[in-house]
Formats: sequence, C-alpha cells, structure tokens
Amino acid sequence: MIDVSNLSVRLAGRPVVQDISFTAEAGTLTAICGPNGSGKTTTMKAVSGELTYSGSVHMNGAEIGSLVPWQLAEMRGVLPQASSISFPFTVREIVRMGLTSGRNRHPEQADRTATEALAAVDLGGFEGRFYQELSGGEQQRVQLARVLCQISEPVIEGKPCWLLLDEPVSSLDISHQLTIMTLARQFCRRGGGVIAVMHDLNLTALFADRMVLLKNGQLQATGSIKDVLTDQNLQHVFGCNLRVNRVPANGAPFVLAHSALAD
Amino acid sequence: MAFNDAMAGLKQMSQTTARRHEGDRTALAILVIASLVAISAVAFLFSITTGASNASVIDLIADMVSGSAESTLSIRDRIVIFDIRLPRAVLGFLIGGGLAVSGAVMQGLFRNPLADPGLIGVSAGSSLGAVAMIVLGGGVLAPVAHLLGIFALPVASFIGGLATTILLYKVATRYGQTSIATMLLAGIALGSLALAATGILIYMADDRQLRDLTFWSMGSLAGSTWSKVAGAGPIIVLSLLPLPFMARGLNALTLGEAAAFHMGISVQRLKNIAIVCVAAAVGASVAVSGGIGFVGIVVPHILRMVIGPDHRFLLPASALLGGSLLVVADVVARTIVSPAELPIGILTAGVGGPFFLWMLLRQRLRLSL
Repeated sequence: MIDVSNLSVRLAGRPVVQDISFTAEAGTLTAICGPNGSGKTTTMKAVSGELTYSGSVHMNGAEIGSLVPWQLAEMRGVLPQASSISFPFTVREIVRMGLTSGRNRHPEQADRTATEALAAVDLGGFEGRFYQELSGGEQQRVQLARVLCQISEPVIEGKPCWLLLDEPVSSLDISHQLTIMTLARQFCRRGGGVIAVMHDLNLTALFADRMVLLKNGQLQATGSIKDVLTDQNLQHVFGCNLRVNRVPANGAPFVLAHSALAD
Repeated sequence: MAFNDAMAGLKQMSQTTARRHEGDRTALAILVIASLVAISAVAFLFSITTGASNASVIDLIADMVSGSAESTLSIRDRIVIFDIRLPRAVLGFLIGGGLAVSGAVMQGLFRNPLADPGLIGVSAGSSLGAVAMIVLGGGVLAPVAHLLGIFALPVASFIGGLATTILLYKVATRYGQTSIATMLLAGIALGSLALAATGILIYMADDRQLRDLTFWSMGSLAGSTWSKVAGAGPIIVLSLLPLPFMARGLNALTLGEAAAFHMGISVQRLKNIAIVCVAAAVGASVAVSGGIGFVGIVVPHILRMVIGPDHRFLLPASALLGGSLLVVADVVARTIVSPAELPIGILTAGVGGPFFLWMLLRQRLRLSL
C-alpha cells in the first residue's frame, strides 16, 4: 500500500502541494486528475522520492524519504513525462538499462525480459531502431518498456511492486492508449499497484479503480470513480459546465466536452 | 478479437526471434576494444622507434628478446629509446587517454556531446592553477611547492580545474536540468576569467618563467621525463580507475537526472565523484603538457558513432583511442618540421577545430540551444 498523509511540497519557496492525503492499494489503479498546474506531477514526484516533502509517504510500510535510491528502485518504477536523449542509443540499449536497475531476479532471461517488455508496449521489432529517430509516442512507449524491465514482476516476496506513471498515454493514439491502460490494469490484476497521472477523464473512468482529484495543489476528492467523478466535482475543479453520463449497458461513466459548450 | 490478438501475438513472436540481437552492439564494442589494444601497442612501438635516431623495431624487439647481455642496440640508441622516447610515449598515452575519458565522462555528466574540458573552461582553470604554481612557486606558494615536490604542478592544476568544474556545474544546472546554452556561455565566461588571472600572473613572470610558460601553454610533450611520468601518471591513473564503475550510472544519467534516480542511482554522489575524477585527470594532463585541445571531444564522438554511447564500452575504448591518437600525433609533431618540433597542441587544435565545426554543421538542424 502507498499511504500519503498530509503531504506538502514547496518548490522555490512557493507551496505547490498542500496537505494532501490519499491511499493507493495494491491491486488497484489509482488515477491522479485535475487541471493544469493543480499539483499532479508534483504529487507524483514526491511519491517517487524525487522531491523533499513534509508530511509522510509510506510505500509498503516504509517511509520513502528514509530509503536510498536503489531500495526505491527495487520497489517502484517511474515513467517520466517526456525524455529527450542526446546520445544515439538504440531502443534495445535503452530498454536493457531497466534490467540493470531494480531487482532483476533472472539475469539469464535478460534478453527475453527486454523482448517481452517491448512486445507488451507494441514495439516488437523496434530493438535496432535509434531512440532519437522515433516519434514522441513511440519514445514514451520505449520508456515504459524500460520501466517494465525494472519492475518486471508485480509482486516480489509477497510485497507488491509499484508503477508510477506520469501521463502514460498523453502522446499516444487511441489504440495504444487502450494497449497501455490495459497493460497497467493487468499489472494491478496480478497483484501490483499503479498510480497514474491522467488527463483523459474517459480513460480514467474506463480503467482506474480509484481517483484522486486535485485543484490548486489541494485535495478536492478521493475515492472510487463513482464517488469522485460527479458533475459537482468536475464543475468545481475544472470550472466549466461538465456533465457525467453513463453507458446504458454497465453504467460506466463518461464525460463529453459538448455539455460545457452548450448554452 | 481474441483470435486477432492471438494472430498478432504469433506474428510478433516470429518477428522478435528473428530480431533478437538487433540493436545489440556488445559484440562490436568488444571487437573494437580488442582492436584498439592492438593499435595502442603498434602506436607505442611506432613512437619509440621513430625519430632522429634510427633504431628499428626489429632491433628493439631483438634487444628485448635477447636480454641486455648481448645487446644489438648501441648505448646511444638505448638512451634515446628508454630515457627519451619511452617516457614521452607513456606520458602521451596517459594524457591522451585521460583527456578522452574525461571528455566522455563530462559529456555524460552534462548529457551533451559538446561538453569538453577544453571548450568549457576547465582546461583554462587548470592552466591558471599550473601557471600560478610556476610563477608563484618560488615566492608566495613556495612552502606548498616544497611540500608537494613533483606533485606540486599537477595538484595546483587539479585544484584550478576542480574549482572551474564545480562553478560551471552550479551555474549551468537548475532543478536537475543542465542547460547547454548556459553551460557553453558560462564556460566562456569562466575561461576568460581564468585567462585574465593567468595574464596577470604572466605579467608578473620573469624572462625564464615566460619562456617556460609560452611553450607550455601551446601544449607539448617535449621535455617528458620519467619524473614527469611519476608526477602526473599516478594522478591520471588513479582518477581514471573509479570511472568504469560509474558506467552504469552515466548510462542512466543520459535519460535525465530524475530518471537516473528512479533507476536507483545516487545521482549526487555520482556527479561528485565524476567531477573530482575529471578535474584531477585534466589537471594532471594540463600540468605536464599544457593545453591539448579537442582530444576529449573528437575521440568519444567517433567512438559513439561506431560502438554506441554505452559507457561500459565507451570509457575503455576512449582511453585506448585517445592514448594511441596522442602518441601518434606526438610522433607527427616531432618529425614533421624536424629537427625542430611542433607543439602538439597546435596539431590537435588544427585537426580538432575543423572536426568540431563539422560536428556542429551536421547537428545544426537538431541542435537547439
């Protein structure tokens, strides 16, 4: 379990995140949503151990501020928003870097793990391509494959592993958005935990189990999708006239921008 | 849907088995490194048997095989080879290797292929340290010079280089991101500052010191002796030893400081050790040979094009190629205008400058400052 309580982060003296508390259970996909600048990425960075914070963030029972980088790397993988690289690495070389971090319990299967990770993000056969020559969406998926090499098993020695994904589908086409979100959900089904910063409310509704809604660096609502994704919450957080609708078959919620534009 | 997925899966499996080793340059890298070992040996032999005295390779090998008892070399040849050319070749190899590896590490650290100790003012800082020691070594710094003995010059140079590198890193890095524009510009600023301070010292220098300084600042391996090897050699070797253990960290760092941290690297510690090592290697090199430019940028760049940027292979390969390149360049420098000698710094700048321009032109479209 990841237990965040009273988390506050100041960047350059300015409070960016204030007094946020939420939990993310293993086996569930937790989405962090909110408008631009609401503190989603900052919250994610604090949870990944990258920023100094006040309050507490416990991952599998340990305060992450007290862990050293390699201990964190064995427990969680992080997909950053965008990464440009100025050296001519091949896709294979980037992905295999993930194998040199984390637990990597099967070094003899290194090649297979890397190949499978690339296939999982639908980049099978891209091993020999240069990272710099790929499109933005392809680069993002290569990075995800690298993270999947680092955290190749959802559960190690009875403890869940975590994927922290910052806008994992932001630059992907609709088909790959579904591929990646399905991948994340499968990771949860197998016992791991995922926290993802999401902009697309419909993908969130489709794939996430729980939602953390932020506004101006403060927690607006947290809980199940059904409880958080409401007209009132969305209108308050995003400041426009959004309405949540439901698909007749299974009652899954969806949000159309159309309502905000209607008079 | 399930059928389509299964078919797609099958297709992918057949593709992945065929391409399993695509994008894997490990074998190539090992082959290149092995060849570079051989090339280094050849460069060494070439260097110690070429010059005004004409002892041939065969004579030398025969001499080494037969032992000293029935030497085929004249005493004069032996002195030329073992007391003049050999220390020069050893020093050239260490300096070339040291500069090339320093360049590669610095480029990894700044995540930019244009970083080079010479370009961003680190060499200038080292020069300042060395010049301060040459000019003030008999005066204000006399106790220090006396205490450090043959290490005085390399250590002074190291301190100058270290101070510049740390300043540069502090200026150019903000929130874990290093801006290349800031880095190059700050390098120019720090470089000219160091140059100004050096100028003041030169102004204070007497005639004998001036002559030393002029020749030294152009970069030369002339006057290499075993005592210079003993002074700078250990510092260069010691500073290069920890670097192979940082290869994994430097690889991770190319993805960004945050990503490296996520992958379990203690980024700050890595940077600290790398900066000290680079400053020490550059400082020691500058102390004995003056400013030899462009080795640190040209060698890693060529190697990255051939074996890729993986530091596990790039660092040893850079050491070997940089070393043998400088040994060969030194042979050219001391024979091309014989019996006089061209400072090797002029040669490396003459070749390296155009190469650097070519690199910039090639990247012009992609490079955004």
